[in-house]
Formats: sequence, C-alpha cells, structure tokens
Amino acid sequence: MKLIGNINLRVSLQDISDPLPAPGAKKNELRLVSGISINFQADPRRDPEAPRLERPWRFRYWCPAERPRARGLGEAAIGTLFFRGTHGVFDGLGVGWESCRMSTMVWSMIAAACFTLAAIHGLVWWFYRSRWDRLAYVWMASATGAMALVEIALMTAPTPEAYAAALRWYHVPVWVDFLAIIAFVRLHLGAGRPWLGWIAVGARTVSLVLNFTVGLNLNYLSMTGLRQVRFLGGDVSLPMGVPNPAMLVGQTGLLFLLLFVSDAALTVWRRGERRRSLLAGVNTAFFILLGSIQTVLSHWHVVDVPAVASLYFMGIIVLMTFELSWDTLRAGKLEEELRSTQEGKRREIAHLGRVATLGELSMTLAHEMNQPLAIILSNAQAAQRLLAKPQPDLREVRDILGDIVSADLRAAEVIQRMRVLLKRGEAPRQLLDLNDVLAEVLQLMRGALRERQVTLSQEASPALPGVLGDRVQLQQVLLNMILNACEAMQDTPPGNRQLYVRAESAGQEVRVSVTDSGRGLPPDVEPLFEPFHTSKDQGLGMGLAICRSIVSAHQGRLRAFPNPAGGAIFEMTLPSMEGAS
Amino acid sequence: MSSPGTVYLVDDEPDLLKALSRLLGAEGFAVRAFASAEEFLASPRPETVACLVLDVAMPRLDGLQLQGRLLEQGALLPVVFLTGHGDIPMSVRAMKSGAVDFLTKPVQDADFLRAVRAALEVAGARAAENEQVSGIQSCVNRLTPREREVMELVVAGLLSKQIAARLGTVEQTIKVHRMRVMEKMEVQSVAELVRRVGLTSRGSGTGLNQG
Repeated sequence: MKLIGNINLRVSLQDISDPLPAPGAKKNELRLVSGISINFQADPRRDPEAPRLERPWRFRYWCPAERPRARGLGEAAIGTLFFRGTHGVFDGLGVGWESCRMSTMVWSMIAAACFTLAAIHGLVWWFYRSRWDRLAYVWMASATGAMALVEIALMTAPTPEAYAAALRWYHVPVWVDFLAIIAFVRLHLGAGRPWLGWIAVGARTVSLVLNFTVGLNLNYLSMTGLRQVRFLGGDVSLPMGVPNPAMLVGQTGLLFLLLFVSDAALTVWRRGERRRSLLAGVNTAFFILLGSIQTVLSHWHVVDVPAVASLYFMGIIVLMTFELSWDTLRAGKLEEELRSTQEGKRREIAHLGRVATLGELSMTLAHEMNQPLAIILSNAQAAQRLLAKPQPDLREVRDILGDIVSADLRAAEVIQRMRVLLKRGEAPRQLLDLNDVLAEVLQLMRGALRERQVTLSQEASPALPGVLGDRVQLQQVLLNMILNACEAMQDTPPGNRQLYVRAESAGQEVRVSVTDSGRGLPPDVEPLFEPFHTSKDQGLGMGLAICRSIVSAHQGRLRAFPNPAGGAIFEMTLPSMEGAS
Repeated sequence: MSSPGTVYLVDDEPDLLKALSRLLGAEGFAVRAFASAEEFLASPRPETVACLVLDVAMPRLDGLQLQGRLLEQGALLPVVFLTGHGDIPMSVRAMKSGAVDFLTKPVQDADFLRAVRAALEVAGARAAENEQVSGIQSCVNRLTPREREVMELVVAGLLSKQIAARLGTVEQTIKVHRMRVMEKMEVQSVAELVRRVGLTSRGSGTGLNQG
C-alpha cells in the first residue's frame, strides 16, 4: 500500500461534534471515512470535566491512495485531538501508522546511539581499566542518552506541570555530562587549567542544588502554560513561565566549561597534537558554544526551538568516539608493529648467534678451507714436476687433475655452508630431513672435531620423517649443540672425548640427541638456557638461549639431561610432519 | 743423491697424503703413507735412511705426541712437521724435540722438498755415524774385561805405570794388554783410540760399560 503523505488532525471538541463525525458515529468517537473508528476524549486542557486519559496520544494518519476522501477529511480538521490509539486496528488494516513524531523518533535514535556507544566503550574500558578517560566518555554518552530521553518527555509534555517536572530532572544528566566532559578533557588530553574546571563543576553543582530547591526548576520559578510550535514537521511543547534567576549560575558554569575546554584545546594545539585538539578539544568547545547560544536564544524566545542540548552533546560524543577509536586503532596497529618487530628481533638475534658461533669456529673453518687448498697446491706442483719429465706419466697427471677438482669443490662447499649460515633473514619453512641437516653440520664441524681430538660416532635412522623448519636455523641449533659438547670435553683426556650423535623418529616427533663425555651438567640445567649464561672464556653465552628460542619457534623442545656414563645429553625434539598430515 | 731414502708420511687427510706422495714420488723418493699415528707406530720400519713428515693436528694421537712417543722409544727419526695453523709455541716445542723443520700448509713444493732432503741428510749422517759406532762397538765387544779396563784407563790419560799400580800388576803386563787393545780396536795411536771411544759413548749413550 502506497503512502501519499500525512495529515495532521487538529480537532477540537466543538469541531468533533460538528462537521466531523461520520454517519453513525457516537459521541467521543471519531469515525474516519476509511472505516477506522477511534475512541477519543476531550482535550483535558479545554474541557477540565472530560475524563482524563492515562496516556494522551497525538496521531498522524496516512490515508491510502485509493481513498481520496480520507485526505479531504484530514485537511478539514483543525485543532489538537487527544484520543486513545488502538494500534491493532490500524495495523490490521495494513495502513502505515506512526505513533510518534519525527522529533521523537530522532531523539530516540540519539538516545539509542548514545547508550550503544556507552555500552561498547564501557566494555572496552572494562578490559583496559587504566584508561579512565574512556570511563569519562562512557558517563558522557550515558548522560547524553538520558538527556535525549528527557528531551522527548519535554517535547511531548502535555501539561506545564509535566514539562516542569521533566525539566527539573533534565538537569541531572546535564550535570553528569558536565563532569564527564571535564574529566575526559583532563584525562584524555592532559590539558586544561584545573581551576577553570573546578569553577565550572562548582557552578553547575550549585545550579543543580538550586534546580531542586528554588522554584519549579532551574529555569522557571513558575509556569504559565505550554505553547505548541512546529518542529521537524510536528508539534512540540515549549514552556511559558517566570524565569528563575538561578539559571544564571548554571550559565556561569557553562561559560567556564567553555573556557576550560577552549583553553585545553589551545594547549594541545600548541603541543602540536592537532588532531587530538580538533577532535576532543575544539569539537567540544564548538558544540558547547552552539548549545549555549541556542539555549539562551530559545529561553528568551528569540527562536522557538525546544531543548535540544543532547543533539550538541551527541556531536561532541561522535567526534570523541572517533578520537577514542583512533586510539584503539592505533593501539592495534602498534601491537601489530610490535609483534613484527619482535619477530624481526628474534631473527636478528638468531643471526647474531650464528655469526658468533661461526666466529668461535673461525679458526677451524679457516683450517677447513686450508686443507683443500693444500691438497690443490701439492697436487698441482706434483703435476708440474711430472710434466717436466721427458716421459711424463699422463695417467697420473689426469688423476691429479681429478683430485684437484674434487678438493676445489670441497672448498667451495665449505664456503657455501658458511655463506648460508651468515646470511641474514629467514628462509621460508620447508620440509627437511634432519639427517641431511645433520650431515651438513657435521661436514662443517669435521675440522673442529679433529682439532679438538673428539671421536665422533653417529647413529642415523635411514628414513626419518620430515620436519617443517628453517634449514639454516636448525643447522645453527645442531652446530651449537655439537660445539658445546666439544667445549664440555676440553678437560677430558683426548682418548676419551666421545661425541655421540643420534637422529631418530619417536612417535609424532623427530629427535636429535648429542651426547658427550665431558664435564657434565650442573644439578639445575635451566639456567644454561638463559641468556648470558656461559661456562666458556669466549662467547656471549647466548648460544643455548638462542637455540631454545629457535626450537620453540619450531614448536619443538630443547632439553639437557645428564649422561649416565658421565657427560651431558642435549636433545632437540621437533614435531614430525608425517604425523601431522 | 742417488738413493734419497724413504719418507714416511703421516696425515689423517687421505687426499693430502696422496698429493704429497705424488710430489715426493715425482722426485724419486720412496714414500710410505700412513693415515694415522697409530698405524705408523704399528708398522715395521726396516729402512735405515728415512724421515718422517708429520701432520700436527690429528685425532687421538697428534703429531707432537707421536714425536714424543718416538723419542721415548729411542727411534732417531728426523721429523718434518706440517700444520694447518701452527703457532710459535707449537713450533718451538717441535723444534726443541728435534724436528728438522716446521712447515705450514699449504706448503710450497720447493720448501717441502728442501725440508725432506735436509731431514734425509740428517738421517743419512746419523745412519753413517750409527754404522761407525756399531763398528767400534763390535771392536769393543772383542775386548776381554781386563783389556776393556785397561782401555778405559788409557783413554782417561793414565800412563802404563800408573795403570799397573791402579790394577795391582806390573807395567809389562799392562803394555801387552795395551798392545792388544790397539790391535783389537784397529787404531795406531792413543789419540785415535780416544776419538773412537768418544764416538761410541756419544752415539749410543750406553757407553763402554755395556757388557
């Protein structure tokens, strides 16, 4: 059904008895041409003897398009009609029906929005209870919602008494709002002269006391009546009465609030925080100024606008919401940044650990490089001498060249391994066979083991399930485990320096253990994994701490046990991929 | 040098062992290569003129330890050390223990061969000396206890009369012993006798008291 517009029925008692009642209508019954009958009662203001309604209604009636006569009827009606609405009947006919006016609707929405914001931010505050500015905001939003509700009561007040009572209660949320704004500005912006704030709070508190003690309310000593003025396409009640001089106290408070907020906004602006100054300071000052001007103008009947202060407070709240959400957004972003920074730091530390480990190994690695060079040189010079002979043995020379090539490749491989370990950054996780990783590390450690006269025995399961990891970082862990084992055996007689490396699959995990016959472990092994714990003369003592953080990042464990035969066992356990998939 | 002698190579790096063997082989040296100190110690070494080229860093028994072991056994093998990274204390220790040279890898062929030749020269000289000493020793062994007694006193510079007095006999008997000693020791003069006896006491360290 199409709605063609609304008709505002203004029917007085006399009018009703005269032209309006449709045929067959009883007294006090308005029968509309469309067939809807409405029981009504007299306007209590005009007819004091008429029985009062529990709840007077005004109504708007949309006339269906196919009933032009209904429209005609509406246009003929004048005056204010009080009647008891019967929703059911109207709804049953499927005619659009609105029991409240545009202003009521808008104000309800304001209230709803304010309460919603208050609830959301109240919840946020509950989780970040140190943010007291947010609590101030919650109070501000709640008070503004309450103001909006009281304003509806004011606009729809049927009697001066109802209006006066509503207006008296109106000052309670206004007072709360006052306090909350000052608290918010102080706590959030950290600006504003306290004495200005205290004067504003003081004046407003005094005015609240006067509101309940002097006259009908802060604004009127007595009320003479209500005027109906058009507002947002509907009629709203405006008061008429004797102004209360106490209102000046309230307005003083308003003035000081304005000064306090403007001062705070200016301070923050000068501090260079322009956005905050605009959103929390200038915004508040602007709406307070606007609200004050409108209140004063309407009070002295310069403009006929009802009390709409909640509208201005709503403006303040919306922009402050933006400011607070900005903070929340920024906090989230910072957290994200922090997390990525921490991840970056972890990578950086792992890299530093590798560099340090290779530093410790540098002599050995130099030796490891030297060996193939020595092989190449001696082979090449042997070949030179062979070729200088009258009948050189070319087969031997060919063998020599083959050996030169393989020694060269061996040197290149050492360089490649070192380069990989020294490389910065993190490689993508890949499926790895720990046997391969171990073999690469042992190759690099060969010289170190020989130099330290360590005898290596190795036990590898031929088919180890894969693990998901960063090849370089896991190499780093194994390198450290083996190097530590070597260090632990420094004081062991050379013949007893036994290093036992084992890689095996254990259930859903792959385990690599490095067993030494060294000096063993202290009773409490945990401090070994703490940063800067060292038993060596050189080194930072970061090795095991870094290793544990790497292994943890791989969802694995790095632990130390005493070796029953003397010495220590370091064990790295990583989840195997075959079990997972 | 027509017969340069045998070079023992001990290094745990098989490829280097092979390369150095080739180098020495090209120069006509007889080479015996060993992959570890233990292997070297376990094998018999009949060669008279030989030197040892030894890697310092080896698992279990390293070069310096092997040198010490050889000294303990009284084997007089000139040693040339090869090392990946030698420091001064290490080289001092090696040289004090009688190493001929201390070379760093990678080693230039000329340096290496010079060191090996020097070592073999030492070995050759020692072998010659040893030969001489063992010759003298066999002469000494031919002496009767009395003759040896007389010889010791002659070498000590005593006159026949004094010796006779010391041994409680007559000068004439000593003169006969003395003649026998000169004959058996294959010398013409007392001065020559003193030199020969001196050699044995310096060479073997066991001296003449050995029965």
